[in-house]
Amino acid sequence: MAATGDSVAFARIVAAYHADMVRVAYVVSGGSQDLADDAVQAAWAVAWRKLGSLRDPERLKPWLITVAANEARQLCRRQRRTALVELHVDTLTAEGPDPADGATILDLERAMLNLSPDDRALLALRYEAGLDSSQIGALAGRPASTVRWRLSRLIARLRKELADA
Amino acid sequence: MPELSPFEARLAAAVRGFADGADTRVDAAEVASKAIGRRRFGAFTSLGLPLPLPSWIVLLLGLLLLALVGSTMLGGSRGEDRLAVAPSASPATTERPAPSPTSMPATDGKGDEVVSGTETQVQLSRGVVTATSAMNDRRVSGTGTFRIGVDGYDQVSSEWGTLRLENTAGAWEGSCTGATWDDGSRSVVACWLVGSGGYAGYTYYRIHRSMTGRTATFDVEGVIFPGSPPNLTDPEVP
Repeated sequence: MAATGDSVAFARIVAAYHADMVRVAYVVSGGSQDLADDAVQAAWAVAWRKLGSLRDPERLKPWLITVAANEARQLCRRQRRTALVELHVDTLTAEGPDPADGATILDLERAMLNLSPDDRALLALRYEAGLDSSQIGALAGRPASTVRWRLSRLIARLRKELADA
Repeated sequence: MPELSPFEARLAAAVRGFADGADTRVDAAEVASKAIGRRRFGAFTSLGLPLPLPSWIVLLLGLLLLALVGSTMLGGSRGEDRLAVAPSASPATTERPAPSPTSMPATDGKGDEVVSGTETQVQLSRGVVTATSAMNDRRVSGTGTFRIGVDGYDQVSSEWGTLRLENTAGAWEGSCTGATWDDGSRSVVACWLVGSGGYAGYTYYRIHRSMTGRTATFDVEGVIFPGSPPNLTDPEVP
């Protein structure tokens, strides 16, 4: 129904998936609620326009989440300078992280803030949204092998950073 | 999700813990209304004009009618052209329309030709991309199978692999190289393909590119000529 322009059905979809989209956008934005809200609102505008082109209803949730992640990435890029300053302050006030094997979740959260929005998007889609490499690749138009490669490289980098610090 | 290493499990917990900081409360009706409103009101909303849509439609139709009447009264015969107003593109459509194979006249399908069209990815599995080519030359329209490898760097990736494009009359096969950037949404890949079957003795050189952020549809341009691809190892190459 929403695909054919039923605004009530569309509102139901918003109610069902908004939280999942905000959580992912929040991770991508590095913890900016305003940016996450803006990104998800923009994602819903995209969804309203393109919902009709989505043929498989089972792909709705991953598709919506990916759109939200992409909108958040784009907003982050536009606000990159500001974000870098904010992240720099966070880094200065952070406690020294443990080596990777003993890294706490708090250490990892801090390390995530130093990643690019693109890398955070990958982590969010994989671990928050629970999408596998094939799903991320299909939604992003890239081979699953590329997604796996980027993810493994990212994990290795985080391990190294936490171990070296 | 498959079993994770201890480090990856902590990373997953960290990501989810970080996401817990988000305020996910929502007024679904308002969010939906805003999303729909962006489409319906488009530029008017950005101008801060709160007029409801019907009023704007009435106003625009009125202006259009006025313009048409004015044009007719001025005696412009070209006004007849303007009366044949085609349905305007939806304001929601922001992507550049892909050039249709019909945007270039169809070739006669013989000899050397400049060709263009689009290619749409229909399946991607384990590094193998299946795509359909809709070109203005029937010889290079059909189903293509790309086997691609990707070397990724921070911002860009290089791509390399093979392409086999086939249809009922024959096939084209050869190697491709290219690059992608902007998270894979923009790319240029060039392929030298050698014909077989009904296309034996011909070469098809083609470039497909996506410069619009679209990821599943590519613009394709190329040439077909009788002969072999250039041989860079030829000792006579200057």
